[in-house]
Amino acid sequence: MKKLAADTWAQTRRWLVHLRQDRMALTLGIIQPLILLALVGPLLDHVVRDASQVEELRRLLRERFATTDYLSFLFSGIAVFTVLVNSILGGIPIVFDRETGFMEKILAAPVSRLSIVLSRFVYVVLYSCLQLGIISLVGALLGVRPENPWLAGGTLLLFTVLLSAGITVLSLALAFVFPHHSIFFAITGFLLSPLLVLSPTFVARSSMPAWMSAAATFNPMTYAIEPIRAAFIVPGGGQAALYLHCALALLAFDIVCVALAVRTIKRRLA
Amino acid sequence: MSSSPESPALSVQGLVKEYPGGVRAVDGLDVLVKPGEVFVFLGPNGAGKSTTIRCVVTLAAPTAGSIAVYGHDVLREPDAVRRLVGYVPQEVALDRYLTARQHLELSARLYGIPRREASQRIESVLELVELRDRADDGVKGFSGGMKKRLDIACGLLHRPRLLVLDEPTVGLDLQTRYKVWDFVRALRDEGVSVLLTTHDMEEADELADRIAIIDHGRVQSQGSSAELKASYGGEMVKVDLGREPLEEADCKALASLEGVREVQRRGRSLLFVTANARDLAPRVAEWFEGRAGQPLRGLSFGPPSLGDVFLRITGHEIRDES
Repeated sequence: MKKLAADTWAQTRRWLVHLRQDRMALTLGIIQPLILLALVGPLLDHVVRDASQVEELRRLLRERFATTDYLSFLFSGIAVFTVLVNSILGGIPIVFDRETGFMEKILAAPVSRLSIVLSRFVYVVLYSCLQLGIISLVGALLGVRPENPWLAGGTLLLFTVLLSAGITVLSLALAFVFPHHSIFFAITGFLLSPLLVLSPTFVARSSMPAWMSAAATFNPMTYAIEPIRAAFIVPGGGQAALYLHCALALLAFDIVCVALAVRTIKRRLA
Repeated sequence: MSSSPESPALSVQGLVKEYPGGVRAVDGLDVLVKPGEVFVFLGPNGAGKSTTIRCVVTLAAPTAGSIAVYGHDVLREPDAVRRLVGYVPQEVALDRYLTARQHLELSARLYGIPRREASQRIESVLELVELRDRADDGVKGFSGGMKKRLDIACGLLHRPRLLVLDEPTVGLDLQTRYKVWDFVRALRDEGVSVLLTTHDMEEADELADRIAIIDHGRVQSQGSSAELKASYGGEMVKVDLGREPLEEADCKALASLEGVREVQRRGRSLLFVTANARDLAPRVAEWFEGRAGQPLRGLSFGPPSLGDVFLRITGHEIRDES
């Protein structure tokens, strides 16, 4: 266990050096979710506020969105999408390590194979925390202020980590399967748009067309967004059953992803 | 199994490596590397050298046969083998975001070297590969030679008892090539066993205590450079024609000269195998003088080179990488 922790930290430090060295990627990585939050948020918020002038529409919005504050509604979706992007791209450095031969040097060392995967997961979580902290700060400045900040913060952290675990290991498994980064980018890029649209990021599931709502139940993002959203906008945080249901759904997703990834990676490293 | 003073540095017995699709890259290879010797794998492209190396450094699992490093089996005790082996791959594999020192620090952590000891060793290997003054520079700005030296330093940091170098001088300038040779000799003097693959006859001749000529996934011949040359069975007279080879009839006439054991065509040259090259050379020169319109561009004689031995064993066809 001590060896696993040491190996994981040794490699995580390497990823942190990458982050420090690649300032352009760091800056863009932080700005990108802020663009969605600071531009799309106020734009749609304005439309929703206009609509909510009409009593009937205000009632509908409260019923479907649980709030008339669209920015607060959107916040959880943007936060989860940011972590999803980090996680889905988490395997990229492994693809490059395989291309350059650096992976062979790591594998020729007496290093725990699990630490290769864990180090990327730890890095994705650390980087996501940095992004979520900045998004939360900007969100607060724009008026996203949950009733219970501790519950909201804790929920945000727990459910994004649960989502990230499964997606990151899947991304790492893909990184061991595809020999070239171009294929990896094509596949992950292809997945991002449907995952975003077929999730309750912009619209509550109850307001989606039936087929989209059904598709969203198979999207792991849904199970991260809904409890975080409840913690941010529902007075009192909403029902505990929602948190439990979503946590169990994400745990089951993580177990399936880890099982698939372990099988794939073991076969590739044999 | 634990390592004992008698354990060979590397023992490969009946190694077979088959890839999906039935491609057999290694086909019953046997090799024994003694502690403290420089052992060279010499072979054409696709002969099975690199695949064997990958099995030795635990990057690929043998399909059949066994490999042990200082008595530790690669399949049963892979981590023990990894601690004993330093691996420097053919292609320089560095992380462009890290400095030279950060590479070595990462290696130290991955091999579990305690922090204080690691910093001493890092200084020492940086000194050895002459990169101390560039230790804190990013490797992005390093020349090919500097990168190779750093790669070797990474392979040496944990003080391996067997250093595996896969084509260590490919693509390097002459100065760096000689520098790498100096490292290898210095390591041998310190008692480190070295397994090296190369295409380069001069490199093999310069460095090897023993050489295995590998082709078609097997050791075709092995011994010291002198032993391999002696096994050729004679001396050589080499004639540079400076034009296309002779007619078949002329070759036959030359083969019937007294003392000629064999005539080989090699490009625009002819090679004569004989027991005594000094005696044969004047007779060959005389034969060409008697043939109007067939002057010689050059003639040399002496013992066979390692290249001559290599070509006789592996043939003259160009090979593709497998």
